[in-house]
Amino acid sequence: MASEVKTKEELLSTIKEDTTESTITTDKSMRGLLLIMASLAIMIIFVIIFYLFSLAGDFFNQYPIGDFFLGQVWAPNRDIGNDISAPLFGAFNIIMGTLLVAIGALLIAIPLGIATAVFIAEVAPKKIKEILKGTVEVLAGIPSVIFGYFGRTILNDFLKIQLALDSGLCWLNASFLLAIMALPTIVSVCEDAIDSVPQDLKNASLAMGATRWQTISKVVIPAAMSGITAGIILGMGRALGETITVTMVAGNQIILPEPITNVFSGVQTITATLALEIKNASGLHRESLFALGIVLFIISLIINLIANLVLSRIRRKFTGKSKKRIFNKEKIKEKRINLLKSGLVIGLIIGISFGIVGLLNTARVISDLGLEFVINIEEIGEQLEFSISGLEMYKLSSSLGGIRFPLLVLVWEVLRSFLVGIAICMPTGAAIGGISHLLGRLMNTIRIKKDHINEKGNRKKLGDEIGIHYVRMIIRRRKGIVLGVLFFAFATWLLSDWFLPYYPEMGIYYALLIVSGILLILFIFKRLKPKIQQIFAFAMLLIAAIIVLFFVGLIVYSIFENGLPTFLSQGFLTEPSRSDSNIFQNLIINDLDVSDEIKEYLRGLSPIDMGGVAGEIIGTLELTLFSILFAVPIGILAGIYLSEYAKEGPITRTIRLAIASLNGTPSIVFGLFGYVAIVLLMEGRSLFAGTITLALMILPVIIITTEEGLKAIPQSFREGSLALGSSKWHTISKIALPAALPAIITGIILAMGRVAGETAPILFTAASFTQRFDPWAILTLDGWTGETQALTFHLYKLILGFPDADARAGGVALTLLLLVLSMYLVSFLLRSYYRKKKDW
Amino acid sequence: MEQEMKNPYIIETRNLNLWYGESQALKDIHMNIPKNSITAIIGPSGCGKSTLIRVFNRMNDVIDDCKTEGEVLFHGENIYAKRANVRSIRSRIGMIFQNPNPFPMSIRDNITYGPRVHQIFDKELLDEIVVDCLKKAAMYEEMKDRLEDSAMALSGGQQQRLCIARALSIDPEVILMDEPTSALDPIATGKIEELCKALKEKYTVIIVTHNMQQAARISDYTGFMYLGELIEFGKTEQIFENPQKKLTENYITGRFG
Repeated sequence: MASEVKTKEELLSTIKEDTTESTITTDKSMRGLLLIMASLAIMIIFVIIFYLFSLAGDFFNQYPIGDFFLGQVWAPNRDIGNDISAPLFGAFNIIMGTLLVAIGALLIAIPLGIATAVFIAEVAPKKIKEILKGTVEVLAGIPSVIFGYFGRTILNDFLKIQLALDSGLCWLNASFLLAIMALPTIVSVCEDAIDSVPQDLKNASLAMGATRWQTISKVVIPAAMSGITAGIILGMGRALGETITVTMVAGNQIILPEPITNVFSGVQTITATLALEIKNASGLHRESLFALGIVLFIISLIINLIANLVLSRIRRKFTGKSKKRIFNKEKIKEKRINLLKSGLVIGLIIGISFGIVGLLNTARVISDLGLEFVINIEEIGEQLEFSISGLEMYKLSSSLGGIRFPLLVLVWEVLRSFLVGIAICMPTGAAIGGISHLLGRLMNTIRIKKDHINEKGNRKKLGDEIGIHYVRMIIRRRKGIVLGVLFFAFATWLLSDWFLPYYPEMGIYYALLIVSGILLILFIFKRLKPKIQQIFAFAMLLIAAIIVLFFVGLIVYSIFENGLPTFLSQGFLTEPSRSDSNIFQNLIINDLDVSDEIKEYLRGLSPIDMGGVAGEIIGTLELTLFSILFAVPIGILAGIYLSEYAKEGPITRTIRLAIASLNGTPSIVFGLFGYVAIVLLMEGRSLFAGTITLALMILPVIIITTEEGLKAIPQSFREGSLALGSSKWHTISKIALPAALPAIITGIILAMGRVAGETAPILFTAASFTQRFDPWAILTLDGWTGETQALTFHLYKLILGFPDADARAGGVALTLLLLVLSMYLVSFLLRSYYRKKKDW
Repeated sequence: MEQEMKNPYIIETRNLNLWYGESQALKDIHMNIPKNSITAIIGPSGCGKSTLIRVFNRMNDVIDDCKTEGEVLFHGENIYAKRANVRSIRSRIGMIFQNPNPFPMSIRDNITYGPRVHQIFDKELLDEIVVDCLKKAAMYEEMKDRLEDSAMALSGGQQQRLCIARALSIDPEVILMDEPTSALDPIATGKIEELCKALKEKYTVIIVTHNMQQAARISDYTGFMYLGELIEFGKTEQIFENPQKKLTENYITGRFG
């Protein structure tokens, strides 16, 4: 017996030794792999940022920055034709247009979104809650081009007829649609935040005799404020970055509304300018568009940074964790060393990114030279029968013995960029780390002094001495009276001269009327009995929810009504479009202008005469599938690294911030990057370029999904596994990852739906209206380097180029909607399945 | 009024039955709770003592499939009557929860929340209430200089006392406490117990506790519950020294539970 026990022990000990050794090596190599993937993802992010900046820099070297931001005339093509004066790039009206459209959208979306979120989370009975949540998810799945279709047909007609306007394509139209599009973001983020307010808090309020509405408005909403703020800011990001819808419905007039409150004026946004102009732009004009792209990027970056700041502030307020001040010298030293280290690492990452940007720039210069070379030869009269790329140009030039292009120069250029980048950025990063630390110390000392004053009780209210305080008190006491007087003054003054018809000039007064009216209502509301307050408040919430339901229903219904006959007609889904017919040929030449002749011809056509959409469906599926295949491995591995391995510190925080920022970056910015980094170099749009662009766009989503999925797994699971002696990677791969997999998979399918519905990134990287229809083309190189069709792009072109092809547009819209929504449905079903299965 | 003066009981229950869905949580409870006293309810986990205390200010209304039968009389009026005003009942019967749950606001706003909910907006009156409640909760000296700090920054014991001060802000007649010290350390527990004894002067306190020593230390009356039934109710000394029922004796001597 004794010997048997001994052998068992021996066996166990040998097993232990074996596993520890082998697991340590796998652990290390996995850690390395994950680190590489995470760095790769971060590198991609920095490369995108810096490359676009360097291109914009080129523009500002040639064009005064003041004229760009303040100039009111945008005339990029003035040197063509008879007018020989220099082109002008005054982007003021474009930037203002962007902001106006976004602000208008937010004014509609914020009250509607928050009210709907509160209604869903706190008021609605269970069944209605499920219906509303589903509706909001459907809304999130509707591609932007379909909103554009809706805005250009139904909303346009409504505005034209009801308000007797020349055109319904205007600021209001765009803002309204963007508001609806921003709703899912706002509602879902706000609802999550409201949902996560502990029941304990609500009980405490109810137990004191508060009504449900008092509990909601005074406890739940303040407690959920951080999430609500985040939702609003993210919604704003969505509204600012939207391209296709605004291009289709905002009227595209580069003017400032006259007066500024005229919501029926056409405007043009940055995104629309990019979408409309980049294909035909070259030289300075193209560079000016990069500058616009950078402006858009910076605006969205600022929004993201503010969101982060607000979130951390409020979080600190509610958890009561204030920043601890460090007075221990050792710790200060340690912190300083840490900051220096992180500065160096961040500097290294930035430096390498600079190097890659240098590489891209060099490549672009070479490819531009190649073009010039072709032109020169053509001028001489010789014909080149092949397209020429930078590399071929290099070969050709050396074989001709003419212009020399020493390879050494090329290598040196790249190397120089790397070295300069690293040499500049590493010390800069370290210096920034050091300075920010010193600044932090300084702020702390100031704060301590301020606190000291507070403790003594010497704090005085601002303006006490000069009596402002009393004025304020009087106003507060008489607020209701003041408000009432204001309201009626405005109302009578307005109604005496104008009765109801809208004059654009009156916008500002209407705004004042509305604001004072709202304040008056709030003033009265606050003095009602709590029970009556509750009835009114719940009624308002219900109305908001009904409005949302109504518009989602209207959009989906109108798509079905317009598209169903075409969709059901024979061959629509299985046949390719007729790319050989005259119409399409003509469209390519004239781009958006369609001659009367073609219009006439079109009227005689039935939808199916233009062929089916089989090619478009296949193109969309290919783009979706391949971009996801590119993004998923990098994204998941980087997400695992961030969640499980990365130590919290300045570096990780910077990386998170970069990922979050990229997630909030408008998709057209990715399109711009894909265009300049891939399309210009490969000399043509291609499936490959589109795939990469979409993959870059979706990468941050996948990283975030993975990280959040893993973060949601209780730490105790991991501890249980680690306590049994298993390695970190083993714990992750066998315990944490399987548990998080459902969340990750549903996230990926949602991402697929988003990719399938995107138009902006493929607009100038991949999409074509008329191209091949060969399902097997992707097996060949030509398939990858050739353009591809896509449902979204096809619909976009149809609506802008063929105003009379309504029936066909409806069919395409319905096909697209069904395709995207089916992906959302799969994700939804998977999620509810896993949620039921989940037993922890 | 006359009748009320004669009636020594502030809360009485008659044939109280309660179900969560299909399972019955309270069975035929008869219980009379005297005024200006501390009543402790003890019993093993899951015996229904928390459910019972939540009946008294209708907090079970929050739970979806909860069904209540029988009468609960507060000053002789049934709080489960159809026309009963839940809000006014809750403002007359306050509640302290197991886990301290201050609102994520400043200390001052936590205390003024109740009055503001009942539409007192006068700033001076609110300030008075804050001082008064903090004094009653024996934490005025600690808190007077940090009224604007977030309540979340307080320690667990301080948070729970703040919750008591918050409950006092609307001047209730009864204070229900649902295991108020189970999340606290012995020192904080001691302070809360002291506070309970002081509150007895003006309020009626009903406390649910796991801790039998606590019940013996502070309460005047004790009820023992088991599997949803009130096994025994009486003066604390009598329950602990001379229990009438075998079950009570077994529980108190630690033979089960």
